[in-house]
Amino acid sequence: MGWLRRLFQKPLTEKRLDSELRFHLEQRVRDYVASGMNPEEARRRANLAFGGLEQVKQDCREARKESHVEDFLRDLQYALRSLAKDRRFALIAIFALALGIGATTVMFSVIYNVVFDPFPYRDFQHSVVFEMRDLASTGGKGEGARDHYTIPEFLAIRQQNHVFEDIVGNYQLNVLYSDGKGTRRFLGGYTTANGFDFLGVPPILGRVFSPEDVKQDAPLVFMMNYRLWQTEFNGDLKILGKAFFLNGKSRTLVGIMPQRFNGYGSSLWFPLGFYPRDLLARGHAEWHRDPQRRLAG
Amino acid sequence: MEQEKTELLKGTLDMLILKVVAFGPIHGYAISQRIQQISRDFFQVPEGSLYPALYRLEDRGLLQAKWEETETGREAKFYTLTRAGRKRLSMEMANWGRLSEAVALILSTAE
Repeated sequence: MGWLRRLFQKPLTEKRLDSELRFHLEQRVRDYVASGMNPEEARRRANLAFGGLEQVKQDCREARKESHVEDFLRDLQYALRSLAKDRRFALIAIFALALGIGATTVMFSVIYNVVFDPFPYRDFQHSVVFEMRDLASTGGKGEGARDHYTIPEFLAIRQQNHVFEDIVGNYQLNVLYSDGKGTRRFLGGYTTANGFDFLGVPPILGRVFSPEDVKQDAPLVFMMNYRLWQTEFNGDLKILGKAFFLNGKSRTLVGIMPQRFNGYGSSLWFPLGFYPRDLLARGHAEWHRDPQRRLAG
Repeated sequence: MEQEKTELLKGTLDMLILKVVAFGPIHGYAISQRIQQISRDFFQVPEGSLYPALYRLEDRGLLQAKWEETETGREAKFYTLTRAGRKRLSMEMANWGRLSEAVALILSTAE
């Protein structure tokens, strides 16, 4: 433990080194004087013989350090030699270590992702989905409970809200994508214009929806998730602003969400205005999940 | 001449220090004086070699040091041999004996 003490008591060791060497010098001067030299000359001769106090000090420090390095190398050599001597033990030890480290890493990343940081969304612990039930069924989910709402219901809830900071609505639909060569089907979702600000995740490319996008005569736009961008479009960086035929209409891509973003469970998103004539006309729009954020405080 | 003396010292200084310290607690200056006296002024141990060697030996556990008062009432660092140091000394002395015998044998061979 000597090195530990030295590590913390450096000033003391330095002081001791200094006084040990000074003691030596003084002894020499004393001996010179005793042999009949005058003190001035004795001091000069002693200093000369000593050959640089600082240099000697430095060499002493080096000597100490050197032996630490030597010790360490010796220990290392010994460890390697004993490992090489007993191959089976070495293999088992390495295997056990690898297993332990691997298991811990997996465990930690799973726990971190599931328990500590399950969703990359802002303030998600304060979000709720609400459910409507009748008085007879107060238990679990089932008969008499629903978390889907018609547009008029949703608008009423939103209008009369004075508890929640913000309310978003969304619903999923199949999206048919035609690129001239063929047609493919993706899972898409309509989400209210505030849907992305609500989750607080910035896009990796482009922008999220704004209130402008849901005005009556606004140009049709959409966003897509990372996976769709990678698998269908090879992560094309110049894809923003291009128009795609989706469900028979031309829509412009305005943004791409990052890898971990899985909001509203869709591959691509359309902005949802409150009076899209076609939705109201068909009158079957249902509201899948309505995460609400509580007013802070 | 001075140069030759130090050269010789390099390999054997540790052993000489251990031997001198083996007589009893002694401080650095006295070690250098003692070596010089016993060798009848043949060896002059420069401080620049003596103290690094002392620190190295102490660090390796061959010497231990204690701060004590000298007969003149000053604090000085006194070195003593540890058990490991004693063992090391007898080993080095045996080695040295064999080495010098071998060298003597070769040098005394008639041409």
